[in-house]
Amino acid sequence: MCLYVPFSISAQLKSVTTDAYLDELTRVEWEIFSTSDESVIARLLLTKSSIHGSGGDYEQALATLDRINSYALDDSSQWEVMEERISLLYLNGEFEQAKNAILEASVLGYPQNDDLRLIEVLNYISLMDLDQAGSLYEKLNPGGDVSEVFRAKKFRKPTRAFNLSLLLPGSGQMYSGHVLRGVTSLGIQAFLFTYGIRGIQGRYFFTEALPSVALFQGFYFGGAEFARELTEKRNRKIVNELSNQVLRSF
Amino acid sequence: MKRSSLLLILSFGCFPSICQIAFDKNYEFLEHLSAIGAYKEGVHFINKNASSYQVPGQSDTLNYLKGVFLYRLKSSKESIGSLSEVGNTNKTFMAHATFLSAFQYAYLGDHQSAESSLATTNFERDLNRELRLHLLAGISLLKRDITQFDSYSTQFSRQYFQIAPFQDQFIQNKEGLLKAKRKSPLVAGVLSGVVPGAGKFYVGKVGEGYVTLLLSAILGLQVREAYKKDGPSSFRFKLFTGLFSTLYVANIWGSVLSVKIYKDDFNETFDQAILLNMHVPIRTIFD
Repeated sequence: MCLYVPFSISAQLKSVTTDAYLDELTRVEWEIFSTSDESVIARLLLTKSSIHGSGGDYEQALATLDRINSYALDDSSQWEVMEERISLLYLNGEFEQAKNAILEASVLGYPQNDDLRLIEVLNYISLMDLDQAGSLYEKLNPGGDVSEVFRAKKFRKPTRAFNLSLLLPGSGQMYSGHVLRGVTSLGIQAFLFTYGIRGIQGRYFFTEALPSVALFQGFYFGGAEFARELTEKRNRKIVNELSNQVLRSF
Repeated sequence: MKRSSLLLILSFGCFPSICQIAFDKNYEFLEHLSAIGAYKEGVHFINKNASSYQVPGQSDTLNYLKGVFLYRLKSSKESIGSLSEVGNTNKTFMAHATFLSAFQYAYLGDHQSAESSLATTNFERDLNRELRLHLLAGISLLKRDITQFDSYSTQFSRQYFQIAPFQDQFIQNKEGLLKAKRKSPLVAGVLSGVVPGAGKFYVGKVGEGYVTLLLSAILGLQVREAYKKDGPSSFRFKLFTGLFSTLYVANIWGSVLSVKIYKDDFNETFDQAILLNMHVPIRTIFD
């Protein structure tokens, strides 16, 4: 699959020196400089973009693709450029742009091959749209090992975790799957609340009630923010696990 | 035999011009790399090919381009190293290399080297002489040497549109430096000792001053409450007195430190403004 190619070259490149990498880039740029044939230049730029991509410099790879004059290429080469751009956008973490580029490719009638569908599945996983990712995966690999996993895994909403924590302290952490942290948060805030009430009853306004209120407020809003972060972290973990499982299933 | 000798003579005769053609093409390629912003590739290409070009004019060009590429890559020390190798075979390259070196020395805080690199170069063009004067004035401001700045600024001709606006900026920078209020750490500390937070107000950190004042007031009220309700020998009184005392001392120390931070911030802001006013004319003239 095409997605393995950058990964494998990237691994190889770690073992070679930066000199060899720059040698290759400079050699290709020299060839670009030495020719005036637009179609040759476009092909060479595609090669140079791949070198940047294999070196993990996706931004530079995308910038190199932007230098290509698409009109100088035939249909199949234009498709190659489009496919390379989609891969790079995904690898660079620009998932919305990758999704739009895939839609654009589909509207323009470019042939949909398995490589592109695989990137599309991975991109939808990164966008946390498991329904789309699951149905595309099913088409790509009917009855594959991962189909069940798509149904089993569920993303949690970070905003919901935040709101739950505001409603009942600790519940946001529990929602994100961290029960012990939720119970601890609830316990601390319950203690501070009780201590504050006790302070008011005993007329210790400044030495008991006020510090309790200040600490309670810190734990209340801090806990809600923490619940949001825990949920985001959990979602990222699911994205990584699912992406690896999908890649391994091919 | 005669024919081979003739060929040998001809080929030796043509060799320098063939070399020049190859060099010209390499130079055009380096310009192409510069145009697309591939500075790392440019430096790499020069490093690989520098040994092939030992003729002074060619090596000067390569050192100049390498210095410019490294400057664009923000590798100031390496850039200065290459630019210092540029000889005077090409007056424009030489002038640009000198100004870039001086600017980068100033940026790195080595004012003496910046001045000496400008002082040791002779410039033929009036524009370059004016730019040198401009940069020397800028370096004087960076050194906070107002007398030296005045000696340079009185020589400003103000006839070059690329430099004149920035010379006016320098005059404003100088006035700003002269008007800047001196803040004393001692005064800040004493003020904070009298009224918590007053030292912060003195250095202009109004928000921090209010927060310190509010915190001190709350802790003071806590101490008062603990004293009234539990007495002076109670744990509560000792705890809050300890907290109040710690905050009180920390606040005095914080106010003294904030004067240093204020000075550092002020100097950094001014240095950035001066460096910008030095940098823009170099780019306007040579880019």
